Amino acid sequence: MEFKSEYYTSWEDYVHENEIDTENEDVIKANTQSYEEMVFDFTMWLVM
Amino acid sequence: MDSMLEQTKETHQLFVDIDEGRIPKRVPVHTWLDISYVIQYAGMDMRRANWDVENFKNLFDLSAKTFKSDINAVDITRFIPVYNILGAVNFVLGSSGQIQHPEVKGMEADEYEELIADPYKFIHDKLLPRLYKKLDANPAQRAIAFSKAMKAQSDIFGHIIAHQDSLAEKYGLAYERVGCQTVAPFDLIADQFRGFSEMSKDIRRYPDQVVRACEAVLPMLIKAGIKPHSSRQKRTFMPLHMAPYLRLSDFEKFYWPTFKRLIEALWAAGAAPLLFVEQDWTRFLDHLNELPAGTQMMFEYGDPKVIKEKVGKKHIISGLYPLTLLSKGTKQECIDKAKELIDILAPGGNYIFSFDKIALNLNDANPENIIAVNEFVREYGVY
Repeated sequence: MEFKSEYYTSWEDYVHENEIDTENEDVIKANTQSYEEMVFDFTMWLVM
Repeated sequence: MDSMLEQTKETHQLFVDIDEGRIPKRVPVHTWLDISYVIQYAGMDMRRANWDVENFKNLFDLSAKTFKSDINAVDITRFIPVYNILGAVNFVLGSSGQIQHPEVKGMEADEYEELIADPYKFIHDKLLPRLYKKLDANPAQRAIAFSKAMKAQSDIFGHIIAHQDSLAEKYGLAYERVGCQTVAPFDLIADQFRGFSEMSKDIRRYPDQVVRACEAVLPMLIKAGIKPHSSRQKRTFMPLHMAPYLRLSDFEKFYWPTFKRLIEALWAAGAAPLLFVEQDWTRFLDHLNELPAGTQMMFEYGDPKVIKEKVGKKHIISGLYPLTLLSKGTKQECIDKAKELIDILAPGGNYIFSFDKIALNLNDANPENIIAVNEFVREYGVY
């Protein structure tokens, strides 16, 4: 049961939409996707 | 420090044993005190202390030294600096300095289809601007307010989390037991989306849309309840609100199906739930017993013998100790009640001693009684 939204960019979406240096994908993901997750967590905090 | 680290390991093991289905050396004590209670105990001005993030760690220390809980007792989830930046109408600072949560309605009845189509988008487009006045602005102003608030929340959480683990090792406490929070789908919609009163009407006026809305928000709430650190010891906290106000048939139609799937999904991902079972769930104990084994349930009301019999063999029970007694009772009356509950709930394990509510104000519980009861449980609750 995957969470999807027009306003949420998963890492797979991000890779698809951006030119990602595949050799360094691990560090790019660690320093990019975490901020998407931070926005998600903050959003949920605001409505709970 | 080494002896305190050893003490932390020993105390933490009490909870690990329960989580893994073993009988611990003794009944662990988990006291929950809102930070406002500790602020009042410290004799501080609530109107100032709620803003003074740097001072929070002193309140954590004071609580760890004072209340004889086996784990940090201070609960703080509402940050007034963040709500102030956003112009919140759902969480506001009262004149006494206590954070209040008035009933709000962030969603209209004719917006169910929009919510169902994309709940996360709906939250950003419609709900947040109604709950937070500073987000009801042009895009630039809105982005600035959201950014400031998120940075503030992240900094405050970071400040607290960094202090919690060092606090455990400083005072020989177990490590923090709650890792994140989610809520039941029906509760999410009933709380800040529609409001409890409107939701009570919606289940008659728009039953199919309510069911579909609960289904629609489920993936989002599963995601909220699973974090990389989730485990049996870093649990997903879930306060349960509205079920006791529903008829059994409505509970089974609107509340239970998506709630059960949420709990099952959390467990499947390695995230163990800690349910705060608010109000009286006696009518639903058989349902609760269907949930995956090892779910912790902190009960507010109910017959301890019935709860132990119906769900205590499969799940971890806590709560049920009446906070009101700590407020009005004598020390001996308070201890007698603790003994009565331990005699019923502790046999066979699966039991963590805690009160039935989180103490918010100093009037809610006499601090001397909290200390006396917790000291008694540590001695009497030895297996």
